[in-house]
Amino acid sequence: MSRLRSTLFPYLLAGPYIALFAVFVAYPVGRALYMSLFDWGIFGPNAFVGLDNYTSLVGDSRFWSSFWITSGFAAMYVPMITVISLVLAVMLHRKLPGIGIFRTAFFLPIVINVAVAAIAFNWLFEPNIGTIDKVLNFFGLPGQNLLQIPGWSLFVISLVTLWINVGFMVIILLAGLENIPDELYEAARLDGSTALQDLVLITVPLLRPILLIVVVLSIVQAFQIFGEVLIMTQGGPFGSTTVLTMLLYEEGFERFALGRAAAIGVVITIIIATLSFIQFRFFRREV
Amino acid sequence: MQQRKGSQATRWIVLAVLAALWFLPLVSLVLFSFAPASEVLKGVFIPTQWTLDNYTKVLTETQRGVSVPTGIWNSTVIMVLQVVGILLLDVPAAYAFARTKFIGRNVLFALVLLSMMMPGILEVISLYDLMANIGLVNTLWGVILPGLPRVIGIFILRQFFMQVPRELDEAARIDGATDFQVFLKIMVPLAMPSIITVTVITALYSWNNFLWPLIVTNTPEAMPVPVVIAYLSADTSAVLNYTVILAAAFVTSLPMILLFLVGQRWIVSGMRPTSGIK
Repeated sequence: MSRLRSTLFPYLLAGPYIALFAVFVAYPVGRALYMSLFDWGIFGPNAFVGLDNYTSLVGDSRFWSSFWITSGFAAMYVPMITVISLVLAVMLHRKLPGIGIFRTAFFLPIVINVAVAAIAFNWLFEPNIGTIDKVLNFFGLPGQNLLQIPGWSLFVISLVTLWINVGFMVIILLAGLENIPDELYEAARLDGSTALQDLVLITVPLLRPILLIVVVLSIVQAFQIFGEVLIMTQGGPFGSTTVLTMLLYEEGFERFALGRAAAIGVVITIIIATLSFIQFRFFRREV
Repeated sequence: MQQRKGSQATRWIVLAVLAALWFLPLVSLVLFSFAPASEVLKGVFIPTQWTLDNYTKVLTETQRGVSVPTGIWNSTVIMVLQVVGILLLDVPAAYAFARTKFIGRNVLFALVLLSMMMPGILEVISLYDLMANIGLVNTLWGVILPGLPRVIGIFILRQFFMQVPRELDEAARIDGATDFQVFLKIMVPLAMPSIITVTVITALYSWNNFLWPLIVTNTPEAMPVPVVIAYLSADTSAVLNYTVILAAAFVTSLPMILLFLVGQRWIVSGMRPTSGIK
């Protein structure tokens, strides 16, 4: 009896979680794959279409435009957040007067939701009345309507995403820095190293596994960017910020082409998985 | 460790400039949330007149048919139920994954971890379809339920349970404690710091989660706070009542800012990569 109870015990503990996981995670994933094989409208499946939703994406210029916009976003965002969070982590690692306030400045956005962050940046970049234009005017320069200029608007969105996420990356990197023994820096200094040499020759190589995680996480974030775009530009101006998730949102919830939207979701997942796999495969080895 | 001459001053200046830039968006938002709408059109960095009107409007009137207090209430209910639900699910499940053996344990845990890497956008279409079928669209349960099988709590608590020494439960068992007693009387109290960490980061997630609540709620009565803010900001006459939207954004962020001030160390510990990554 007590043995039976011991055998059942783990199932009792893990069962409820596993059940909810099955219903709200595993099943929707399976169902997304299933739906992507159908012409699926608002009232359900119309016809089985095989891989047509995928093949039609390949020939769809809107899909490629979104793909390149998202890639362009990643190309701006990933290097920016990696470098800035590394520099911040190195500077925040050792004691300094006022360090508590500095940490607060970079960590506070972690608790601000994307809608509020987007509003705050909209307000900063608002033409004429926003703080950025006021600063420009103060120096006698004309105001810039950056959110209305294709190219610049994507850059402003990458700034919001950076503002929100840098604290999280700094926390990860700080944990990594704690594992680098101080003796290494002391020895290097006896040999007359500069701060830059310390960073390039000691910190970066030893932080490599953590930096890899920062890069992979930020690529994952870049390909999932959504809230900032929806609130700040709705994909505009002229479709220049219609990232892949925006395209999915439009197909799914504005055109109700649910099968096609599901296929876009699968494609986004495959892109993210492939990029993460490549990173880990090619960069982890050399550590 | 002794520092280089001059390097500390440089570091301080660079950090001060960057920190000021990082504070700027919120500071500007808060300043003008206390200003009358007329101040917005003046070329001032800091408002010259102050008022609480924006906050009175936000807290007593509906804007575009949406009530901010209703949003705050919805978010509070969602947060409380998700925190309680996630703790009740995660603590036992993490313990089972860490310290018991059962068929399929490793496969299940691998699946759970794998789902952590999966983008939320993959699920929104099929999950919406599922929710529509069971009538949970535009309900708080529709927001709450899909958030319950989150992975991060399982991950943090499992990390903790794995490093509790075996001798502890063996000693208790010799004293005649059952499996369940070992779990409840010994393990759960030991796990308290990790449980607090999971509580804090779950509260943050619940209050701030945007994508799924946006998809599943489109009536004002069911919207949680971030969806309310997004809805208000889509107002085409936004410039006219910009200050009201800023006030709504700040007042709905205040609970999390307070949580940050009180619980910063748990937020940090919840985000640090534990031994799993090292």
